[in-house]
Formats: sequence, structure tokens, C-alpha cells
Amino acid sequence: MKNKIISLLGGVAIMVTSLTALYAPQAGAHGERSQEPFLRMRTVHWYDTNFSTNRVAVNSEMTMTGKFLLAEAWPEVIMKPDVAFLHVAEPGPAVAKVESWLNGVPAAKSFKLELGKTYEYKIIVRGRKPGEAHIHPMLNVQSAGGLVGPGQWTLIEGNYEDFTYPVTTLTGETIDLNTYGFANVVKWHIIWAIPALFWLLWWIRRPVFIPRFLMVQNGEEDALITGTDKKVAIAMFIGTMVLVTMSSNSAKEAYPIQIPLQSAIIPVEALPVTPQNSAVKAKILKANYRIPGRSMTMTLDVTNGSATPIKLAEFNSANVRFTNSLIPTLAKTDSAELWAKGGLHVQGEPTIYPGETARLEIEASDALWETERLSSLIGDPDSAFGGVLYFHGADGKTYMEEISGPIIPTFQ
Amino acid sequence: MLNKMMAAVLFSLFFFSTTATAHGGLSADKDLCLLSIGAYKMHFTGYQPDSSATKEFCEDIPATGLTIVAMDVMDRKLKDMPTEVRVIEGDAEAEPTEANTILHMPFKLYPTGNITFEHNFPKEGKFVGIVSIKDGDEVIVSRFPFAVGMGGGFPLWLLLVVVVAVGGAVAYKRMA
Repeated sequence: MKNKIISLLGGVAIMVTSLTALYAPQAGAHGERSQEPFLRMRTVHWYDTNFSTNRVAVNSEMTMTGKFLLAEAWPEVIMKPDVAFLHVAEPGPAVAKVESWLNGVPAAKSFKLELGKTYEYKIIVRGRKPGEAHIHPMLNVQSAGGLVGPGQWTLIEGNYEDFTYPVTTLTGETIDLNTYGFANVVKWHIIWAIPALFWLLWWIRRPVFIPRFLMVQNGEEDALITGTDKKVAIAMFIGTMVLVTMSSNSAKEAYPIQIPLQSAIIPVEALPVTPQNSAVKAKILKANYRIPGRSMTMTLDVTNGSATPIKLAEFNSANVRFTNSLIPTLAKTDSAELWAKGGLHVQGEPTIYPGETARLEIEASDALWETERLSSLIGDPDSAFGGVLYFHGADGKTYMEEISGPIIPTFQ
Repeated sequence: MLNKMMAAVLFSLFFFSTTATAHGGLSADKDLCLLSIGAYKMHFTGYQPDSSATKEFCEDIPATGLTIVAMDVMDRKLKDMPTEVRVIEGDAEAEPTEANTILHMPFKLYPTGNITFEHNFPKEGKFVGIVSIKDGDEVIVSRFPFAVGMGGGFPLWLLLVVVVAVGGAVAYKRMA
């Protein structure tokens, strides 16, 4: 009877597990849009992004440059960028990273970065896999994940078979990083897979999961491990130790000159504070998101601490640009599909003079709120937004100010 | 017997799909509710703020009452194309007439790429949404039949509960 119960429970467990596996709810993932709005709106504000080309041949290089401001409104729920790494977001290895620089410092290692500061980057990539790929700069933050910048559709032309990635090592040897060590990796995976598979099969033929749990509960755990099991376990342990020692010696023989894996965190100074990134201050008084109209409205006080009259030209959040059609267009360098041209409307006196504080009512409207999945910020536990305001100065310069605050959804 | 029954249930579930639904030009494709108008796509979202606040729905409208529908262009070219929206009462084959038209928004441009309309559906019934765009000299029409107040589909979680309950009951009976 007991065995019948165990067998039945096992059957039900398998059925439930199978049902769970078959249940495939709608996947909330479309590249960068899969990230929650708070990750895109309140972490890294990318701007002045530039791609040297949108067509690159296999083995040819493309350069990405730009700047980013690390939000002071960085969400509490994710780790601060104490360990951050500059990289590229792409659909598989369409391009290979060749060089990267942060404020002129080589970015081969991780950095400790400061919130509220601005950094300038340069990333050079080499065309690898032919096709059209959406390429982005990306900042990887430890325990927070990849924070993706504006992307560009890039056509990679040529033959994959022609791709090479020559690198000269510290010992002067030139290797092709695209294929180097591949056979060795395959060999050692197979060598380790054999004992792993044996060990798995050895135990999987026994009662598992719920039947095993019930046997332990019933005090029958001695029946689960036999004397032969113990002998096999000892043999596996000794065999593993021998294999580890052999593989280590083999690696030392093949590669006598070695350096440890590099894990240093490189200090880098942020870009200096200038009037362009510090003279204008904004204080959010109220913010609403009107769900049906895909429209965000804000009331804010703006203080112009610069020496020139300014006008609000752009609101940028999560790489989506809402620009004011009444102001001369700011340089259009970012992803074309994320530009809500004329989507920013400002009520109130448009010009803010030096030393003046003006109250502005602004509205940022576009379908991009929904299609870029920013609308779902209304479902976040803290319902907060973030972004950057760009002001056009009469002196021809651009002044920026980060904003953030709570936001209330409305149907009105 | 029990094992055979479980196998049959599992086998039948292979034919169960949560996403392959389609109502004319409107479909739940992967994770997006999309309206196809020729080669162009719009993102379709329905709301019933009085009964379900910000909860979104696609295709059928779960209850009667105030309903807000927002359509957002996926293809930015649609911003430059005049768009007309019409909702008529009737089944999938119904043709628009003055008598059966309950909502009509004539051709106009939507510079923000968002088209929103609201309507109070006082009673249950079958309706057809018709969205037309002018692509140069060509008018492209998309129709999507939908029902109001007729409830949603059979939820998968409920199916799971039923299967487990039936399985448990049969097992209990066999052991008793």
C-alpha cells in the first residue's frame, strides 16, 4: 500500500511538473524593452551617442562614442555601480569588441563609478557575423545587470569564414582569438562530461524527489545508499582529484607563462563639473502619466543659474527623446526609432533668464511610452520616473539637468 | 488505468496554446496585442478603469461599461498616414451602416502615434472594430470582431487545478 501511495504521488508530481513546463505565459522580453522602466529611466542617462557607421564589413571596425550621466535617483533596489564594466549589447556575437575607453582610460577592467557624475566612452568593435544587428553600448553593473544605451541597426557584410581576431600576447605570440583554444575547450568538456553523466545516471535510477523524501520521512534512508554506492563514491572522489591534478599539470606544461585572472577595479575620474551640467536646477512639483493618451505631464520649477537665457528643448528618459518642435533641433545622433519629434510641449514663459526661477508645465506625449514599455512604470512598487531635461542656451550651448520623482497614473 | 489517464491528459495539453488567438486583424502575438493593418502594426490595449483600473486586455472586452481603447503605432510611418476608426455592432461579417455604427472617428493624423477612444458599452454583444489608413492613394482596412461582457477564455491555471483535483480524486478512489 505504501509503495502504491509513493508511486501515485510520484505520478502526480510528474504531472504537475509537466503542466508547469507546458505553461508558457506571454514572455515579457523584447531586447532592451524587457527591462523594467525603473532600470532604464533611473540608472544610466545616455546622450550624444554616435556610431561611426551603420554598415561594417567583416573584420572592419566601427566606433561608438558618447557620454552617460549616472542618475542620482539610482533605485535603492539595485546595487550601485561600484563595480561596472563597459561593454556592447548585441544579439549574439555579431561584432567583437576590440577596444574600449572610459574618460580616456582603457576599459579592459571594471571601474568604480559615482552617481551624479558624467562619463565619456569610446568602444571599438569589429564586424564578425554577417547580418543586421541592433548594437548598443552597455554598462554592466555588478548585481544589477546590463544597462543598455541607445541602439543602432547595423549591417554587417561579408563572410563569417573570413573573420579573424588577431591578438599579440605578452609573450609576443600572435593568436586568432576567434578560434584560439576551441579544441581544448571541447576536449575538456567531453572529459568532464563522462564522469558527470555516469554520476548522474548512477543516482537517477533510484527513487527521486517525493518518493525519496517519503522514504527518508519513514526512516528508510539506509535503503537509499548501499555499500556499492559508497565504493563508487570513493572511486569518483579519487578519480576527480586525479583528473584535477592531471589537468592542472597539463595546462602548466602547455602554457608555462601564466598570469592570474585579472579582477582589479580601476579608478577613473568623472568629467569635470561645468555650467552645462550643473547650472540649471529643476524641482518636480507634480507628475502624472495619462494612460490612454500615452502622455506624461509635469509641473516643475526651473532655476537658471547660467549666464545665458535658456529654453527647454528636450526631455529624455530611457533613451526616448521627446523634443520641443518650437526650439531649434538638438543634434540627432541617437536611435531614430526612439525620437518623439515634437512630442514635448511646454506651457508658460518659454525663456528662462539668468537668475530666474520659472514654473513650467510640460507634457511629453508619444506612442513610444507604450511601445517601449515605459507605461508599465505605473505597476512598479515605487511608481517613480526619471530622466534628463536639456535646455537650449542663447549662447548655443546645451544645459542639462537630471529630474526624478513620484508619478501618479491617471485616466483623465 | 491511472497512468493511462495521466498520459492522455498530458498528451492533450500538447495541443493547448495560450498565445495562438486571433480576432481578425487583432492578435495576441508573443507578448504583444497587435493590430495588423496591411503590413503595418499597431499595439492595441483596452482598459476598463471603472472595473479593473489599469489592467490591460486584448481582443474581447470582459465587462460592460466604460471602455478605453488605446492604439499605439509600432511603425512610425503610420504617424504620417490619416487614420479612421469605426466601431459597429454586429457579428464578424457585419458591414458598416449609419444604423449600426456606434463610434466613428473620421480620417485624421495622429502626430503622437497614439489613437485613443472611449465608449460606454451598456449591454453585452458582438461588435466589430474597423481601422482604416490612407497609405498614399491606397486605403488599407483592418477589421477585428470582438465581444463585450462575455467573459474571457478558460484560464490555464483553472485547468491545472481541475486536472490535479481529478487526478487526486481518482487516486484516492483507487486506494480506498
